[in-house]
Amino acid sequence: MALRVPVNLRKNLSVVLYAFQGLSILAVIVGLASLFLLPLDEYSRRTYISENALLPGQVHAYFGGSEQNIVRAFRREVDLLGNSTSDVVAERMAEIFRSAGLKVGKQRYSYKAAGGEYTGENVYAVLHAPRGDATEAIVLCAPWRNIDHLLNEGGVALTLALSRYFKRWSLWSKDIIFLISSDARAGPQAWVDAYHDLHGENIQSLSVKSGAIQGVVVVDYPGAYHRFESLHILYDGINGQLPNLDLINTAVQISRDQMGLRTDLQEMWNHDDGYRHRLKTMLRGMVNQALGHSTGPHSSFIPYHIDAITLATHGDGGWHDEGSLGRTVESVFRSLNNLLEHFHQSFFFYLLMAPKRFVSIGTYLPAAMLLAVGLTLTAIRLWVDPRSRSGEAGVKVEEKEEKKGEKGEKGEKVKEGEVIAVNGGPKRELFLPMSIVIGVHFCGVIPFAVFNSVDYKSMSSVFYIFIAASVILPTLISILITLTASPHRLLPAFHLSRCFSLLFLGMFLSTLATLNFSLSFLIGLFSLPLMFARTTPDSVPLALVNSVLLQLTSPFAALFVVAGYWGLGVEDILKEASFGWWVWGMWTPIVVWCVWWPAWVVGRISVDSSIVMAVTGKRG
Amino acid sequence: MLLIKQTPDSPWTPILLNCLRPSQVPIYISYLYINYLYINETNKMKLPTLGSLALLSLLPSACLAQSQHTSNWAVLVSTSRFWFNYRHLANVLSMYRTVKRLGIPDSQIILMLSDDVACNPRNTFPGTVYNNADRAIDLYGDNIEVDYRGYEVTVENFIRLLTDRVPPDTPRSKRLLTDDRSNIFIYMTGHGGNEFLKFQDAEEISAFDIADAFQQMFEKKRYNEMLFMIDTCQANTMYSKFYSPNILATGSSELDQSSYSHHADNDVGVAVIDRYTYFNLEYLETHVKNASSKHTLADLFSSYDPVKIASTPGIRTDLFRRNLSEVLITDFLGNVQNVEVDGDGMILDEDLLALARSAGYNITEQEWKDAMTGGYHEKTQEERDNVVGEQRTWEGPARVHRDSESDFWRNVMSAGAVGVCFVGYWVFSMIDKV
Amino acid sequence: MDRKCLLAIGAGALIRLVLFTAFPSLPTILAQRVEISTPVTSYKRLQEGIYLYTHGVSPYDGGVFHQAPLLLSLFSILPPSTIVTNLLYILADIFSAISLIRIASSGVPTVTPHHVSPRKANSWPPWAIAAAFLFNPFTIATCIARPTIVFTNTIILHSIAAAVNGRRGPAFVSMAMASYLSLYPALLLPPLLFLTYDSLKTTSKPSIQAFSAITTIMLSIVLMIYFKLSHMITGSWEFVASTYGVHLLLPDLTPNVGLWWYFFIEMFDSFRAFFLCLFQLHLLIYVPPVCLRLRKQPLFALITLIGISSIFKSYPAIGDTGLYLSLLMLYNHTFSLMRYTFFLAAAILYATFLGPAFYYLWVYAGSGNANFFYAITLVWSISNALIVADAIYAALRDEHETERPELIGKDVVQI
Repeated sequence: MALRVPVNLRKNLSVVLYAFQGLSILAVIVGLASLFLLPLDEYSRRTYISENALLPGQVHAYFGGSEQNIVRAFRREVDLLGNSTSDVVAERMAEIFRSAGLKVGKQRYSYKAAGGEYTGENVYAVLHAPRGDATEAIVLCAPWRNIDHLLNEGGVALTLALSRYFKRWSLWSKDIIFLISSDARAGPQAWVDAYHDLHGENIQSLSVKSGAIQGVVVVDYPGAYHRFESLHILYDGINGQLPNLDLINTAVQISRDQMGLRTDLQEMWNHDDGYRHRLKTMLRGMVNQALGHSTGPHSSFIPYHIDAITLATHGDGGWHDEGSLGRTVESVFRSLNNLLEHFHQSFFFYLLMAPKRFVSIGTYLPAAMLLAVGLTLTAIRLWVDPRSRSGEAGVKVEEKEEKKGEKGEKGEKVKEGEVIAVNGGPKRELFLPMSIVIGVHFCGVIPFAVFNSVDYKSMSSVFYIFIAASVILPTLISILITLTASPHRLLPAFHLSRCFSLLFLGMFLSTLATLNFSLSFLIGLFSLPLMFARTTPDSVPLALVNSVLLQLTSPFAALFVVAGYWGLGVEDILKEASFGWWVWGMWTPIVVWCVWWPAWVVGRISVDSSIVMAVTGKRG
Repeated sequence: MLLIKQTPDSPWTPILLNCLRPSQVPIYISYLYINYLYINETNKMKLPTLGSLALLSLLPSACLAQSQHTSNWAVLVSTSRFWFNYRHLANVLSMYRTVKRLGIPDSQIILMLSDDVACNPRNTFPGTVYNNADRAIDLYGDNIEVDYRGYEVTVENFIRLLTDRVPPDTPRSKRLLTDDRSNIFIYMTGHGGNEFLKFQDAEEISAFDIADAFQQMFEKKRYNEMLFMIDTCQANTMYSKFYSPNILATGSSELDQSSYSHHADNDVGVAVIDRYTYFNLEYLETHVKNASSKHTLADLFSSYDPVKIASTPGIRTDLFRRNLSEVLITDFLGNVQNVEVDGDGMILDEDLLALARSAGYNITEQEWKDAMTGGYHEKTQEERDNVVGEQRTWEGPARVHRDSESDFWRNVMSAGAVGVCFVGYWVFSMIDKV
Repeated sequence: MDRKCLLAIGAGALIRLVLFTAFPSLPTILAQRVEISTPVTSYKRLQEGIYLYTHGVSPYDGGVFHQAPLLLSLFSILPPSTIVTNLLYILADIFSAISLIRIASSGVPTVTPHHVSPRKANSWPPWAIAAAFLFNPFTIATCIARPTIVFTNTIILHSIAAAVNGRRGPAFVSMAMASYLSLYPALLLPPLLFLTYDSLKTTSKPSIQAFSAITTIMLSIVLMIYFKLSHMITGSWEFVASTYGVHLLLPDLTPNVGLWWYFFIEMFDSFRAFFLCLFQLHLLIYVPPVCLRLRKQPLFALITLIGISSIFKSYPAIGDTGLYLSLLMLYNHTFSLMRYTFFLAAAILYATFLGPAFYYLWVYAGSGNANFFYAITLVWSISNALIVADAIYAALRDEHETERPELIGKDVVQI
């Protein structure tokens, strides 16, 4: 029985081909549609706390009253230092921490990326748990300037005040580290790298350390105005990794249910928990995840498997003040303090669509997987397709002719060539398509290396040169191949190179989907036209349409879209990518240049070749 | 009836002999006789096991059931670990406080605390455990004796305690030295499920385990009557498998029902007591003022309100002989005044020794005495090692045989070995060519 | 050996040399990959063994080192420099490639005394087969990670090369060495016997019985020498339990690409002995049928057994699969008869990508678990098993068509 099915299918090859075509299109449609079903109540779930030990919101938080005056005093302190250099700031902060009786460390760092230099000095203090064993720690972090380069007055002042306040409690089971990082992007990265002894040469080692970090809370409370409306919870990590959902749930539950503080995600103010808002929140989360960049100081901690979030204040018309935020942080820390082991109970892969609603990996993964499956099925169809074989009906004759054309030493094998042709059907020529695909993928290293080493100033000019190059390159390659290879091998070669390229892309995307779902899904989405970018030497208009379509879904087009989304220039995005690579170890550029771009180039080659073949009259 | 699980290495299980009473002697003699035949038949290859003692347990238990008991014991167990299970420790400590208040001395209370929440660094009030947010009573005051603590609280230790199969060096404080005139109150709390109770986040005890242990206790005459109380999720399933007489059991919730905590203390940051225990305590505190209280268990059980407890408490009386309205709460939770002077059993013992000898057992006076006084000597680890040592000589870590300044020689040897391989290869390929 | 062969070998050596020198941290990274290094082949463990050995302690103390004592001798007389070690591994791969070239040029894959393939003109030239070995990513990764499986593979290939040229002595001394080093090559002895017998060049062939008797005696002598040498080197017989015992009893459950580790982690101890026997017998059980059915093509039988043991042995690694796939290239002419090449190649590729990703999720990110990785090793093993089955199908079909030429091109239907 096992043998019968393929044999019968082989007889009716066209049925198989149609089936595969249908299946791949179906997979893509279902994949896309399923994403839009996710925000519905039937597919998403309410969040819940999985870890019994956390007990969020079960303690009274006492921060307030006179503590609030201390915060205001520190605010003044921070305000005065506002424009000082980072070493003056660090020295003053260290003084304050020391006066609270804490061990203090300072760390200078310097990164170079995209022709710029990023320097600063972090300062941190360790509060040893009075009755703990110093094997674990939790971190309260406030960047001196937040991700928008605003002076984080409230955040720093609150951290300083909380360091004095926490020192008075004797109930900590873990050490508490208070970190004031010089900025929101490079500083935390330098600090967490050095904490794990994995820092580069321009980054100082840490003089004081504590145990394994179990959780990080970042306070982002910029501006001189005291009052705020709601709490914005940021959670995206580098490379799209996310903190354990329990940490977010804890923060949401404490701020909403205990403190009466509204929480927002993904800059969705006034979330009405309806379909549109849920979808929008989810898509914004996916874009952040796909880009894999840092959205706040917490992002740098997550690759170290440290769960971290940023609590940022939003709006200035509300009635919450330092007291509410301080109590929220206090309560979150009491919950973290209750942890017995690393966060592990809840999800690490999820999409949040409202502060209290999410989908887990089992529900959303099929969407990206189906796109990848669609690509793979197309690849299989291309392989099965008889057009992948060199020569069609008149194999025997052609085989003979070809052999005759070659040198005499192979002459005696012509006879056997006949037998082979009869036995196995016409053969597939693998060498040419393989070398096209492998060669183009190796070329992907070039843009990757170039964009990671070019100065910010010349970034945009290099980029436009590169666009021009990659528009011309596929055409050049297809001309080169068309002119050099023998005509009857051309079509199968382009056919098979598409097959291999799609196979590789499908395989890579399905692997990527398990690591960074959103990146895989978005690249899969942009690569969909590659499924249909056929070589059509008989229809030049179709080829032209295909070519334009491909151009519109190229990696650069995507880059322009991303730039437009944030209202930035392309060079800023490229600078961010270069910074991400050198500072955060962000993988997105590699994926784009070494996987997506080559697949796109191969697609363009097969489309352009139809025009070239039509023009040169070499139609196979 | 073959429920007694005993390693078959000695028929001289002292427990057996300890529990012999005059009325059983004829049966015991017949047992010895059977053994005698058995040994002869099997050429002494296999020693009889306690399993063949099944006959003994056929003894009419009714004649042994004494309405009068002479001592009260309590076994109070909390089985869960971790800070967030504070309430289980508080439950058990509350019970401890109550039975002590009603007069059971510490020497007759076995307190098993699976974790030390009082000294947990997370405790806002170090060194204390409270069962109420008003924090009126520190349950962990000056005067508590914890018998099993932390990781000592295991299923194995619990069963060993009940059946008194403990290592010889176990202190009296860790043994349940009861007899057939003792009433035992067993209270357990922790996280459970259908027919199991979790111990220490690592293992669990099943309803069958406890039932079998109780049966063994009954056969070994280790209790007169027993009150089993358990506060956990699906608690009533835990006593559903009991089959030994004179056990009264009660639990906090039915199958598929959870048991809930009563309230939390917002400064300690955790729930401090479970509902079932809370209402039990409330009754005991308000009604049973002292050991002379005449309140009965029927009164206590009728005070249970499923609405307040938020689960349906269960009571199992089918194994128990007396009418609950005649059973005082202090029969279990309080102390007793009845005292009986032990008779001298040594005459009987000598007779038995003679009998045993005539049955072909070669035992010394000392062994007999040890057995009679309950000091049956299980082999210690050291002795076991010695036995092992006889069979297998310990060679120590393997040493490489070499000369003292042997770096050179080792290299020569290695080179030689590699050389031999190559030469061998060459030789064999030459042979081949020949 | 023509110029193309030399070119292939040169390029293969160069790429390894470049990888060793341009990425000095690569060997360490790869040596830690569970897919490449197993407890019985790992270079790190070998270093531990050598350290203990040169410090006068039994290398098997501590239960880390599970490799044969003669490897210790070899490495302890080498100068302790990374370059020399790296060169040794490159040399081993070159030597393997040369053996492959010798096998391919002998023509045995296509022409045996009992069978001449109708597709023999379609077989790859020797240089292409050497290139397929040298540029196989699995082989390259294995060479860079430096597990001792590299030497076993070299010796197996050398043994086969000697056998196809009818040189019994070297063939069996080498295969004995391979079995001594990693036990499972012992399964290859029966087909090797047939292969050598078929290729004997002497005019008066002895009977197969006499031939096997003499060979067995020779084998026992050689193995005795190896064991005595090992005994002399380590000063005790402890190495038997610490090397072969580990292969057979699986005390180390470090994950690998095979099927055993997960199974024996989950196993209740009481069944362990039974299933150990079962798993080992399962490997053994393939030997007679494969040897008998493929009697006409003993080389193919041998390759098939290599493939089977690379899937089902206790500590497999991608190096074993690399060896099998390289040897399978000798039968390239039958590939047109295989039915699932594309799908199986795609499945192998998928597993190659997803394996490390899932291992990362399990061990580093902590967001996956062991089932993720095990699922992928299952895919890997199943695709390998299907390749073995498909290759056997192709070889048998090839045989069949020489006997019944009228059936060429007809479909086969299983009833």
